[in-house]
Amino acid sequence: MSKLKPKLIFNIAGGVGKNITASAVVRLLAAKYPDHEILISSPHKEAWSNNPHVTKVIDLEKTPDFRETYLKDGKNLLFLQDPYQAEDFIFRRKHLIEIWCELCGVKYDGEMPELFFTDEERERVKSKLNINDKPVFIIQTSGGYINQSYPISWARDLPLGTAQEIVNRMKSEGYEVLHIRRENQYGLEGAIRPPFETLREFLCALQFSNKRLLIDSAPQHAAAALALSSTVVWIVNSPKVFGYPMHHNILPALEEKFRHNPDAYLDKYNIWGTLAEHPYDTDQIFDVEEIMKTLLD
Amino acid sequence: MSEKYLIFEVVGDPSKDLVATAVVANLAKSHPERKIIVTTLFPEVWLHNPAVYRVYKLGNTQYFFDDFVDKKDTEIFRLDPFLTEDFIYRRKHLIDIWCELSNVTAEIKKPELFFTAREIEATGKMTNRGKPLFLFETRALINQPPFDAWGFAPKISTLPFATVMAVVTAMQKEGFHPIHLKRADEEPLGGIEWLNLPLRQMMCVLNLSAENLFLNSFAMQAAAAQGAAATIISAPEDWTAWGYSTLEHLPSTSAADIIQNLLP
Repeated sequence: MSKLKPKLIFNIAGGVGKNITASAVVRLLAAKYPDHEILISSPHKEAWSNNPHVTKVIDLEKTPDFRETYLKDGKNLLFLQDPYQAEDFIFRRKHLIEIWCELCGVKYDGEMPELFFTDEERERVKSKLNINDKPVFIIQTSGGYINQSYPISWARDLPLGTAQEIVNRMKSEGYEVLHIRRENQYGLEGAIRPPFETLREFLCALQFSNKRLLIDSAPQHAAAALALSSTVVWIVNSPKVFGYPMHHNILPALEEKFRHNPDAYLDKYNIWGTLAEHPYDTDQIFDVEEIMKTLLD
Repeated sequence: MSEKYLIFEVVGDPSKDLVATAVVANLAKSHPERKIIVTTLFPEVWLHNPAVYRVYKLGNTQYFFDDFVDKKDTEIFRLDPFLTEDFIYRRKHLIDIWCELSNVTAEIKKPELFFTAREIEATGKMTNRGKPLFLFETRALINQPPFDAWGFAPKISTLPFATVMAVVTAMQKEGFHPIHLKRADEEPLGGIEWLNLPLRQMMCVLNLSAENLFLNSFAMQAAAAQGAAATIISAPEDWTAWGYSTLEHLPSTSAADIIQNLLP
């Protein structure tokens, strides 16, 4: 019976954060096309587990018969345009979800992303956290792909000196500090990396935290999806496009210095943090007091 | 008064650029107040195009953000017609699809190419064999194209060796000089002259030959741009998306059909 239902195929070119963002668009598409099964084309299944609007997540590279199965009869609906290519995105005029909705022909009304965790998942993550009676503070310092150009991107990542200072202060306030990071990313003294194996476990763990300091990366989208107001620091990307008003969005406290930037094409900086483009003379670009105020408020 | 710009990006092979020349021609008509800047992997396709103010090769766009984006009155067209239902299901022509995405009427419906007299003269001398030329290609894609989940590639992208040799022999008998437009990664055909010229000359030569046999490729688009006579072997559905009424469409790879089409 299920095979007879028409399909709506929604393609996402990007990482886990973009997939989480897309969940807001997909919910609207599900409402507009209630007779269609929604298939997500993305390698990031972890963003879609248990999502009731989605029938299947397909990794194209692992689905050699995709064309034969889903495109042959020419009837399934396809939503493949990438919002990152849109003029409104390049000029940072609107939120990514709004841009994506416009591309898909659905009305945006401040919809938020969604994530769905089972009780079992939550219990498993909670048991790995080994939480004691202390309040929990989660910090993320680095994001991006595994094989990126630099281990720390000045364009996105929280400078480690700033991060360490905040960790120290949160510990002195009585918090247990957990660090979202891959094993090959820099650690912080006094911050524990939980023994998680997947990013999804880290995202699930947000629910067991009291305070969060995040960066322009998947966890801030996840926190929004889970209605967990957090502090998020931004360097080159704009919270207007990628962020959520429910978060405390903090921008650098310093003015950018003059730099020649001959390689900039449609955006001033790339997110990987090309060293020569760094527009500050210091790593201390955030006002720590401003960050602490949002965390302890 | 500050300048107004229109940035048009093309990411694909030269055939996509050739299709895009028609879209840009339509945009130039609808946006006469804007200077059009094309960013592409194949700037050769755009040289001397009077609708285009500047053409940049992607990856070599020095100071582009400062000059054309930052605090500028610029419209950006970074739209991929391949990622549409109408293209994937081959419902409409690519020019129409791309114009729809660009919110512009598709009045101009064929690609455009502009050569200098010197380019035409030099290419003509270079390919003068004292006989009418018969240009043909045997592959429309690179040797190992990437996994094509969405079906971007044309259905017929190669010609069987036996077919090619039968056609070439027939054309030789009729007094034509056959030249194989060979891709760099393609094996030559024994005893047959092959050409692998720089892209501009490769496109220019198509209008200097007496007969052309192409697949659904950049050569087909370049032939359409120049009004050159050519027989194009293409599946009917691909023809809907890529074809032109000025070219001869043949939905068959049979040698007999091809010969009959070329030598009626």
